[in-house]
Amino acid sequence: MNSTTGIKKPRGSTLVGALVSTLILSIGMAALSRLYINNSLNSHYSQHAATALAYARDKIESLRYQASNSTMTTGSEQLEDQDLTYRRDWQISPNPVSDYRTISITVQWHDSSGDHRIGLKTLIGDQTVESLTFANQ
Amino acid sequence: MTIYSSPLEPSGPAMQRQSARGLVTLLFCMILLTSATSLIFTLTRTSLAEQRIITNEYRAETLRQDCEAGLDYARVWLSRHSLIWEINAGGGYIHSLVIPANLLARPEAVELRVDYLSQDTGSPFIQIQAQASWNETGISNSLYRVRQFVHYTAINGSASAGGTIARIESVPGTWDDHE
Repeated sequence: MNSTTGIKKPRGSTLVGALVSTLILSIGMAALSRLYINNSLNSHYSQHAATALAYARDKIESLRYQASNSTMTTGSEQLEDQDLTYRRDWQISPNPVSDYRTISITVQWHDSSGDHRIGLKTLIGDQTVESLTFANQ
Repeated sequence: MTIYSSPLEPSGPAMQRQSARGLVTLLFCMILLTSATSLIFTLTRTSLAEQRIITNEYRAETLRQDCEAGLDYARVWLSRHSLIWEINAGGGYIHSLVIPANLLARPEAVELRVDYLSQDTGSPFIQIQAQASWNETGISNSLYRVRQFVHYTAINGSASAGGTIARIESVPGTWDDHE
């Protein structure tokens, strides 16, 4: 006859062991989930910033060859890409020094991490001036 | 001193098996946690690489636009000024332009030079080279260089020392980009 008659032998983990394991796992997973969320946001930001930079580059290149003789000074448009809306603004302003114009492009977007924007700026020479022939001084 | 053990608490081999089961649970959790950590760290590394790529791309594009601005500035400058050749024996360096501070967002970053295409002083081309650099503490420096050849009409002794340029024309398709 067994000496432990009437008492069942405990099986499985103890409650304390399970609690300690759950506690460690919870703390670890909480920290990791925070990191994962940050990674996800940063990854999305990188993707969106690359798209925004491409939009800004496209516009500044087209304006470089159109704006020198154009009277257009400002503009704005909405661009859709993968369920995200980008707003592209540009401004062509005459420079204090004549014969040059400054082009400023700003692309803005809003995603789950907030509002973002990137900008590019460059200078163009006035083509009408450039094509003139100047006599030797 | 006598130690009494509760009849409800297992002792001996039963106690050892129970402790071992708790240890297995803990070990399983630790393995799970370690796996998740390594996975997240891998994702973090990928995310950081993506951010580094887009940051570099933005810096390169900013520098490129600075260089383009420098080239445009040089072209207009050359069409408005008579450039007097100053041939030196070293490498044909003839002139250096400094972009006025009110023309660019970061004029201090742009170094603009106008060089000879070659030592051949009879060549109807000169080379404009714009060079922009981005120096920032904590990150590696960036350098962008753009060259363009322009055709000119020289008078007053052509392209020899003391000669001047009267007219320049941009030659399309002669870009030489270096990053």
